[in-house]
Amino acid sequence: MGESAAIVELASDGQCLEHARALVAALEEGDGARALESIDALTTLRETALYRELGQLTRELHDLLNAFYDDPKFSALAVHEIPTTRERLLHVIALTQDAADRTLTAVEGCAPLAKDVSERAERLGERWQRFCERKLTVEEFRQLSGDVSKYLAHTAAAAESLHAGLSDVVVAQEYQDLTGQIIKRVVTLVDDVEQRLVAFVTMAARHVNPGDEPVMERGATSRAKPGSELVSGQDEVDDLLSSLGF
Amino acid sequence: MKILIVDDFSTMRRIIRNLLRDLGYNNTHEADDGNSALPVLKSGDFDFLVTDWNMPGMSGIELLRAVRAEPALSALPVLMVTAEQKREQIVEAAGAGVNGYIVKPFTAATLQEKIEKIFERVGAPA
Repeated sequence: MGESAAIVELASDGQCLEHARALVAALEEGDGARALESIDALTTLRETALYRELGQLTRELHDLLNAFYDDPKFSALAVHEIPTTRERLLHVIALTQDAADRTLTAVEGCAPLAKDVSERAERLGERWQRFCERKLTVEEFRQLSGDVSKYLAHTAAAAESLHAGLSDVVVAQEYQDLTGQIIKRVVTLVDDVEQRLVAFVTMAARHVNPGDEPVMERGATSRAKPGSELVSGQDEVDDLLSSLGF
Repeated sequence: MKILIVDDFSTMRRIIRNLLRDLGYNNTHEADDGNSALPVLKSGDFDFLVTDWNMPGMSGIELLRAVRAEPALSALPVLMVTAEQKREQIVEAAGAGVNGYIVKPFTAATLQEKIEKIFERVGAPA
C-alpha cells in the first residue's frame, strides 16, 4: 500500500515523536482530553503524509499521460505505425509465399529433367556394358552409337534447363533481404512500445508495492505449465510416442 | 496409393506433394482444411491421410476424431505433420488414434520412414 512510504516518512518526522511523547505524558497523567488531542495530531500527520503521496502519484501519472499525448511519436504510433506494421507483416507473408512458389515451380520443373537424364543413362549403360563385354552385334552397336549421340545432345539441353532452374531458385531467395528489412522495422516499433509500457508498469508498481519493482526481462516468454513442455525435435516425438506404446 | 494432403498453407501442401512424388506416390489430392477434407475422404477411396494440426474451421485433431468416428473411415491411416511440439498435444493425437506424428521442420527421410512404418503395421494397400 502507498502507506508504507508515508510511514517511513512519519517515523523520521520530529513532530511525530513530539506528539507521541505528549500522548504518553497525557496518558500517564490520566488527562484524557490532552491524550485525544495528541492522537488527533498524530492522525493528521499520517493523513497529510498519505495525501502527499497520493498527490505525487497523481502528478506523476498526469505527467506521464501528458508525455504520451504530447509526444508526437506516440500518436504517430497509434494512428500510423501500428496499422502500417500490420500491412508490412502481411506483405512479408506475401513475399515469402511468392518466393516459395517460385522456388517450388523451378524445382518441379527440374526434377523430371534430372530423372529423365538418369533413366536414359541407365538404359544406355546396360547396352554399353554389353558393348564392353563384346556382346553387341554390329547392328546393335550402330543403334547404340546413334542413341549415344542423341543422349549427349539431350543431356546438354537438359543441363541448360537445370542450370536455368537453379538460377531461378537463387533469384527467388531475394525475398529474404526485403522481409529482413521489414521485420527489423517492426522490431524497432515493438521495442518502442515495450519501453513505454514498461515505464507505465514500473511507475504503477512503485506506488502499489514500493521497493518491489517488477523485473522486466527482455524477451521473456511465459513459463511453460507443467505437462505442456515442448519436445525438441522428431527424436523426442518418437520417444514420447513409443513410451505410449506406438 | 491414393493420398489426401490437408494443410491450410498451399506451400506446405506443395512441399509434401513433391516429397511424396519423389517417394513414388503420384496419386495425391489436397484440401485446405478439415471441413473440406472430410467430405472428400467420405466420397473417394483414400488409402492415406496426411494432415496439419492448426487449420481454421476444423483443426487436424478434430479431423482425426471425425475420421475415427466414421465407420467407413475409422481404419484410415493418418499421419500428422505439424509445427505443434507440445507434449500434451502429441499425447492427445496418440490418444485420438493417429498413426504417425512428424514435427516441422522435417526431412524427406523422416517422411519416408514414418510412412513405411505406418504401412508396416497396417499392411500396405496395392
